[in-house]
Amino acid sequence: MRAFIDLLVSAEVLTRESLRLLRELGFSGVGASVSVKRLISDPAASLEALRNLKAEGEAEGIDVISRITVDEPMGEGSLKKILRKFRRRVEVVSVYALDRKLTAFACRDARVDVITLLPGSRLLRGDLAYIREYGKAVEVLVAPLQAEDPLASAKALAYYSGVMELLGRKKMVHALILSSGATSPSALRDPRSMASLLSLMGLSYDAALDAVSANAARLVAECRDKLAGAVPVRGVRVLRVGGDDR
Amino acid sequence: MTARRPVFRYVIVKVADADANLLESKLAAAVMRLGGVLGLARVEPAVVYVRADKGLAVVRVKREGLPLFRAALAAYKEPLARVVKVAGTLRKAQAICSSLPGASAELR
Repeated sequence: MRAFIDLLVSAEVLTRESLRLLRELGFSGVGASVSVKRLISDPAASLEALRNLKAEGEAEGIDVISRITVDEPMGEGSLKKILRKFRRRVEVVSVYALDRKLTAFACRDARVDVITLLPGSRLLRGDLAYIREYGKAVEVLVAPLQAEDPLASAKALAYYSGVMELLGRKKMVHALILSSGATSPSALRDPRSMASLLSLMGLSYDAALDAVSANAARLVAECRDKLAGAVPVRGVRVLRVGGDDR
Repeated sequence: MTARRPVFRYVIVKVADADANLLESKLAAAVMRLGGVLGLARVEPAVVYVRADKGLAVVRVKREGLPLFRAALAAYKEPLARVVKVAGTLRKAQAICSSLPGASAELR
């Protein structure tokens, strides 16, 4: 049985009711996202909110994944500072591909786990090579497709169809994650409907279901292993700690 | 030679407003928005059963139009209806509706 994960929901939206709603919709995990602006303005309160959400999620029977989302353009130096300070305190770090410099840096820095694509974002060949090498995920969102203006949602649909085609050509469909990107409970949708939307963009239905389940679960498991110290450096996994046999 | 009879799927949805006509027109509008007239012809949504007390409805759609119908619901800005289950026959869909607990009146 598939375990569905919506990896990007704003932490402000996640109340006990919305966690229950997510469980009713069929999700077993949710990424509680704190925007970088909120994090910088009050780091202690943001991290405390994530801890509380985790406890609430446990009570509701849903796995809450802590996440920082860099959703505004910033310089390389500022992003490095944020990563240095908060990387070990949350499970997933993602960056919106808002401008070329930020995208390029996010792709080549191993501390960033997810590159979120918005309509208009550009990924170059080198970016894709880094994403593949570091085992990062490429995330697309449902939120831009729910825009009120039909032209805006048509543009988003066309852009994401192009992304699907690109990932298919580069054999990187396993790196694709589909999230709601919800900023209100009314934007939450059930996972199979989200997958149907993705399948309209040229992906097979099975691959689309993987984007809401297996691909996200794999990324979260890898991130948790890194945090727990099971993967001290890339390519090395601690299987067991033995005693001194001498 | 006669045309092949379409195969349907029965989608059990949770709705805020259980008025069948209103729901049907809203669903048609959602499908139209994503798939246009061609898409609507592929889906042909029709509300065939309503359980107002539980806030549930059964929407009949053509089998080949089911992904488009679900995608249209996902891409629509408001949560018109939330898919609970998909059944192959109306009788099965009605049985599922009866077995489900009552839903809250409002869709969040």
